[in-house]
Amino acid sequence: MKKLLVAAVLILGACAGDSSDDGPITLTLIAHESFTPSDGIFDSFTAETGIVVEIINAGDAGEIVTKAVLTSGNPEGDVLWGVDNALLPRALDAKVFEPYKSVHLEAIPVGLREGIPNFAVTPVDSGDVCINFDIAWHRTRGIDPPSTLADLANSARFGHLVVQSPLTSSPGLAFMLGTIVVFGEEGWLDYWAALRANDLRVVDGWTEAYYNEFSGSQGGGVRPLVVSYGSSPPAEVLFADPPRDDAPTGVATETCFRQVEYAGILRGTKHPQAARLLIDFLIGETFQADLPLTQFVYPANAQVALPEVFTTYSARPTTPLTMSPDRIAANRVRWLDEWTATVLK
Amino acid sequence: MTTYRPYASWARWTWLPSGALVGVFLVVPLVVIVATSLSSRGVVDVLTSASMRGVWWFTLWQAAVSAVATFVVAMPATWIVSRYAFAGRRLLIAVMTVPFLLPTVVVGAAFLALLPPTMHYTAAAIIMAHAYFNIAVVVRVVGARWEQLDPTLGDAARTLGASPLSAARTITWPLLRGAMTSAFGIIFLFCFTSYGVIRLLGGPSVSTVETAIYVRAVVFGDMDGAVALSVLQMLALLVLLGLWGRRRNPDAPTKPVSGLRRASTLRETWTIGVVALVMVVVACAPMIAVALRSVRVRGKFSFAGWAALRSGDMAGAVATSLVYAFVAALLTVVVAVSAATAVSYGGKRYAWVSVLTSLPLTISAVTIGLGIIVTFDTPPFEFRSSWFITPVAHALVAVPLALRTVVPVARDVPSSLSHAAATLGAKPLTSWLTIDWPLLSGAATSAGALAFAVSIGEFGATSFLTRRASETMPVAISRLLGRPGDMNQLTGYTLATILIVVCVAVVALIDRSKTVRR
Repeated sequence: MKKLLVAAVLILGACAGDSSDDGPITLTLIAHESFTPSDGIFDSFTAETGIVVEIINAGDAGEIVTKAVLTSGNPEGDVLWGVDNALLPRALDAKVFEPYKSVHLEAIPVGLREGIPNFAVTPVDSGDVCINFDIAWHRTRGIDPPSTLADLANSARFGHLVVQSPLTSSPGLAFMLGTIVVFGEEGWLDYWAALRANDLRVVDGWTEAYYNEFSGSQGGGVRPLVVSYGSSPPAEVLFADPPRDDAPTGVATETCFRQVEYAGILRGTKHPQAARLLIDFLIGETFQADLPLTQFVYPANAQVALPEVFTTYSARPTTPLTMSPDRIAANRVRWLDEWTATVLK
Repeated sequence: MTTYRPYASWARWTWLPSGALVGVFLVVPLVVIVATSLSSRGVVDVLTSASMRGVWWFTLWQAAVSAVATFVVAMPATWIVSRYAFAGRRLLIAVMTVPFLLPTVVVGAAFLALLPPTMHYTAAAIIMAHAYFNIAVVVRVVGARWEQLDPTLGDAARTLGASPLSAARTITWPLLRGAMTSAFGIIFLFCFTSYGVIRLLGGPSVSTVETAIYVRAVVFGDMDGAVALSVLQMLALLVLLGLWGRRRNPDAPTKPVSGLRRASTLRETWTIGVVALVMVVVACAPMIAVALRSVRVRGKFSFAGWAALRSGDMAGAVATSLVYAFVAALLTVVVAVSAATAVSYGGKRYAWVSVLTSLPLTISAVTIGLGIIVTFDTPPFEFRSSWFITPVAHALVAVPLALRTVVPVARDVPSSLSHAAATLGAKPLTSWLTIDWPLLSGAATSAGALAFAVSIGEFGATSFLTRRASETMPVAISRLLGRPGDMNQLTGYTLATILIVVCVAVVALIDRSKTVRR
């Protein structure tokens, strides 16, 4: 009850006016729910700059971008982490970000920096959205795991696949874009109709798909195929209980769509200078080295060495599926609409 | 009739709070979104959209089926409470009223808790939740009419040799048809614009036009399309309201006295008992299921959900909802009392005030939320992310209801009293404070309590306006129950339980203040 009162007073206080800036600057870092860095990772940043970082995990990637678009110019925080290449055009259209060219930008490969006008955002990590399969499940039944997208529509895989809705999930959207790259405008809806006829299961988010529906994860669902990341297998090894030295899940590397995540300074922040320092820190080596084993993504900073468990068990396709931001921006709403009509109705 | 009041000149400005609230936060946004939508390709996009045809069709048929289902569930109970006097009758009516005052998100949560997982995200679950939610509409609308029917009409028919069935068909049905059509229309409209229930029970694949507006705006990021849908839905609602308004049956003969009588045979007593018991179970089971699920997950008891209330996030949601509800209630009372003063003192000249304040009833909450974020996005009118915008939207939704509580009482304030006060030299404000306000305060309390309940459960407009740092309880419930994980489920159902308790308390408070007034 006491805490309730305190919270009420705090809200009223916050409503009454902006707090004075006498104390140390506190930056609010808005991130999606999968942003889970190590505890205390910002301590060295605070020690060095005097800036405190507060993280708000404000929903999935789609939600945080929507919120940022709706509050463009009068943001809920100072820095946004986790807008990906599929959602970036939407954020750029709404002028969500304040451009900044980080001092560490040269450490990031040019490939990741493509499609960003005027340094609006900074690439922070990349990953690949791929079909993951349950190795033991396929072995015990003598079925070959799939290797291509077309394999998934094979009637021998009836009821095997669970995907995330591209409406609500960032890997779901990446996977849908991948099918458009492979089958083209003329074929991709037929492909999804075939998946649907094959008893496709669609859920809202990655967590539900991976932990509740997929048989290869610790959670224990019944479907042996799921849309996840090329770097999901190392997580299964790292967190295995009891410990194991082989991955229980595999990756169909021909199904991978390259996903790049960005961070940016939210236009309208009251602390632009501090926000710039935070962007520098986010792509600096300390923070980037924390990414592989906390969030299972590849650091954008090429100077960071990858941990062994990560390189051994994760799949990194050499030629992943990609799509230009312009093409995504021009067609996203229509594609989502057509997907909804084909798959959900 | 012109009512002269000694402070009529002072009352000239009492329309201002309601005019400002509805004008600035409803009329202006409506004009803005209609203007932007008509100047865009949104309408064409939405009309040619591949996914929308199914959405319109589902919205229509589920509303019709839900309304029929509500009648099936509610008619037996309506019959006993409007034909028989029995112990616990008032309590039974109160119990059946509670579901209607529950936040839609909580009703959705209740059916998630009650139904087996295989039924989640199906049309059947949605229809059940709608039927549960709307029982009170049938009981109140049809029951009020039925209670006034002269029971001797039926008795006469029976005496003349009609079977019970043909008496019902030829006497009761024609007389009740008008009320039943009204109730059907109200329920159909509620279900047509259903939002919170669908967001929780619809899953990824089931959507109504209301949820499609949200998905367009927030998920697709397609504001033009969302606005176009909103405008089309408003037109559809206007057409439906027009059709329904035309079909009013003329008033049938009624008896001013109540037609209630005691059960005369053992069979009647048993029938009443069984129907009442079934209704109590139907009304309470979903609420009990929510409370149970707040402490029980996967067959194990756990108080982690309630313990989580001590954490910042959950305490924050509870505190935010309470603060918003207080602000919205206060605002609503000020607006409703001043508008009631204008309507009752100003006579015909201020009739437009009651039309204006009814406007929010005909606009869906989702459209109100969308209108606000689309309109107030440029400085110096960039209010869409200000904290006060949410309680203001809540007040908009609550004002029409609150006004209906205050106006009848304000009309009844005898003008002779204020004349006397004026004659004795009282200043207008003094006269108002010492004479009108004490007579109005009971109704104002009811209006405030109603606004509190509306605000604390409001979801449609809030889902557009909420910010993570100031999430309300319904938004948190929808988020938590939409995600897997034991902790999310426990916490979500805990918040839903709190909302149920708050709503029951508000119903009790309103009931008590009405009794006091009498």
